[in-house]
Amino acid sequence: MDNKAQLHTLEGLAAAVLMTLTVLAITQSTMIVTPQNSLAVNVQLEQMSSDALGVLDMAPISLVQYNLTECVAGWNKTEATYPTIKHEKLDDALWHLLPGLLYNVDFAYIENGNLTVEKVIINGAPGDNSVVSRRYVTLTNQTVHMMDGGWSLQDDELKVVEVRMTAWKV
Amino acid sequence: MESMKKDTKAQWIALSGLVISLIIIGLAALANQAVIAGYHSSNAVLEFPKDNIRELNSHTRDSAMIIKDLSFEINSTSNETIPFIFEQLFDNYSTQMQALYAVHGETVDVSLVSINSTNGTFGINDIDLIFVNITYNDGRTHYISEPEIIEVR
Amino acid sequence: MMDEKGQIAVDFLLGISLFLIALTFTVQFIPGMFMSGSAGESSLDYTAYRTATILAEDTGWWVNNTGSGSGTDWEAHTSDIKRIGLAVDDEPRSKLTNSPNILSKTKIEQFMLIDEDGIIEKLGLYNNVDGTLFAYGYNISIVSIENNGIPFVINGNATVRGSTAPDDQEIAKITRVVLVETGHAAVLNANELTDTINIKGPYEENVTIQIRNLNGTNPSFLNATLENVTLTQHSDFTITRKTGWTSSEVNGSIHINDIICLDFDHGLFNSSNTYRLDLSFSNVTLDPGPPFVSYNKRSTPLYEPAYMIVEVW
Repeated sequence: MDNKAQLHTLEGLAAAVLMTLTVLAITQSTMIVTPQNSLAVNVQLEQMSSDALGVLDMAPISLVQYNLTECVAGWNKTEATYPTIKHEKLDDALWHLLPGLLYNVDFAYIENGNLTVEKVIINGAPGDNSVVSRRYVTLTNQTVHMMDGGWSLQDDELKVVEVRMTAWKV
Repeated sequence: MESMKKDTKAQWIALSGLVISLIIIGLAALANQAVIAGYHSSNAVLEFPKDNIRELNSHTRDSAMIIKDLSFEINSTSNETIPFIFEQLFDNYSTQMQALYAVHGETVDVSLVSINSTNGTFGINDIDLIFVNITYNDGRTHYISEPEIIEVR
Repeated sequence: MMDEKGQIAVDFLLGISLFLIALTFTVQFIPGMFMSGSAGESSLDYTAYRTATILAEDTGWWVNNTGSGSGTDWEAHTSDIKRIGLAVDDEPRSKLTNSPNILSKTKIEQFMLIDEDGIIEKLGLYNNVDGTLFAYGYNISIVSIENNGIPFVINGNATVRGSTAPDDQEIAKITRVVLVETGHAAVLNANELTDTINIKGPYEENVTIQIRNLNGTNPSFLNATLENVTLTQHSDFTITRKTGWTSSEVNGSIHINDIICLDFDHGLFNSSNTYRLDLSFSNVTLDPGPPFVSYNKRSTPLYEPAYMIVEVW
C-alpha cells in the first residue's frame, strides 16, 4: 500500500478537532464572561430614573396619594441632612419605584432672578456611573396651600421647580 | 495499516493544529481586552436628549392648563383681560424655563403665538387651543416645534 | 526526480485552507454563533432599547389598504397594524396625544394575541444579514412592582410574550417603569359619598371604590351589603387602606388620613341589573341620599406601577 501521496487523515482530523474545540470554547466562554458594558448599564439606569420621575409626575389620582407636583408643593423648605431629614413623601414614592437604586434629589428654582438649588433627599455620595435625570413641575399658591407646603408664593405667581435626581446602583 | 503506525512524519500536522489553536486563543484574548461592543449605540442613546425634549413639551402642555386656570382666578379680582394675563404668566413661565435649562447648557425658547377661542370671547369654556413655539438646542441636537398646538379645554 | 517531501506541504496547505474556508463560511453565515467574535458591535443592545421605547412611549398606528382610515387604536384594527405601541390614547384620530409610560389595558390584551410573525415583523425583532432575516429570541413581560415581579393577568392571559431567556447566550435587557391599566375605580371624596352606591352591571372586572378624606373621630368600617345581603370580607370583597404607597388590610378601625380601597369581586355583578351597594361605617356620617352616587358615572381607569422588561438575544 502506497500511503505517501495520501493526506495524513488521522493527524489532520486530530488537528481540525483541536482547532474547532478551541474556537468553540473561546466563543462560548467570552459570551458568558463579556460583561454588559458600562455604557449600556448607564442607558438602563438613566431610562429607569427618568421613567420613575415621569410616572410619578403623570400618576392619576386613583394610583397615588400625592403625585410629583403635590410632593414638591408640600415640601416644608427645610434642607435635607444625612441621614435624618429628608422629603418623606417623595422618598417613599421613589423607594417604591426604584428598589435597589440609591438617589439624591435636589430642587432647583429661580428666586429673585437667581438660581437656588436645595437638597431634599440625601442617600450618600453618588457612586461611579451615576446618572442625572430631571423633571419640571409648576407650582401656584393654590397647590402649595392645598399641600400645606413651605413655599411662599403670591396669588398671581408661578414657580417652575426642577426636580433633579442623581441615581446610582449600589 | 502497520506502516501507518510506524510513519511518524506527520506528527507535525497535529502540532500545527495546536499552534493555530494557541494563536486563536491569543487573538481572542486581545479582542476581549478591547471591549467596545455596544459602545457606539449606547453612547448615541446617552447623547440624544430624548427625555429632555419630551419633558419640555409635556411640561409646557401641563403648564398651559395651570396658566389658564390661574388667569381666570386673577381675572376675577383685577380688571386686566384674560389674554393679557395669560400672556404675562406665559412669559414668566418661559423665562423660568430658559434659566433652568440654561444651567444644563441647553438653550430653549417657549413663546406664545396665539390663544384661540371657539367664539371669539375668552370665557373659561371658550378658550380651546393655545399655539406655542418651542425650540430646543443643546449644541448637538436641535429641535423645533412651530407651532405646538395645546388643547387646554 | 520528484522530491517526495514537498508533497506533505501541499497536503498541509490543502487541509488548512479547507479548514479556514469552512470556519470563515460558518462565522459569516450563522449570525449569533460567533457573535462577539465577528460582529464587533452587537446590535442586541439597541434592538432591546428600541423595542422597549416603542412599546412604552408610542401609541401605535394603523392604516388600512385604501389609505382611507388610520388612527392610533390599532387594537381594534389588527389586520392593518403599521406600528405596535402600548401607550394609552384617548383621541385615536390624532397624533397629538402624548402619554408615554401609561399602558392601555386593551392594547396589552391585543398585544398578547397578535401572532408570532406579526410581533417580530412589526417590532423589528430580527437581524438582517445580506438580505436574509434572522429572528431574534425575545421575552417581553409586564410585571407588578408591588407584587414582587409577578406578571399581570389580563383577560386570562399572563402579560408575557416570547420564550424564556437562555442562560448561555448574550442577552440585552432593558427595564422600563410604567403604569399599567388594570381595571376601573371610582375615586370618591367622603363628602360626596352617599350611604348607597348604584352599580349597573354586568362587570367583567372587579369593582373598586376609593374613598378619600373620611372624617370623624375614630372611624371604623362595619360592613357592606349588596341588595340587602351582607357581604363577606376576603371572599366577596377586600378592604385596604393606603398611606402613601403602602397598602395594608383594614380590620375595623381606620385612620382619617388614609385612602380606603374597597375591591368587590366581579362575580357579584354579572347580570345587567342596577345593584344597590350599601356601605356602613361607625362614627362617619354620610349623606343618606337620594340621589345616590353612580359607580358607572364615576369610574376612571385604575393604574398600577409596573416594570416592562424587554429581553432580546
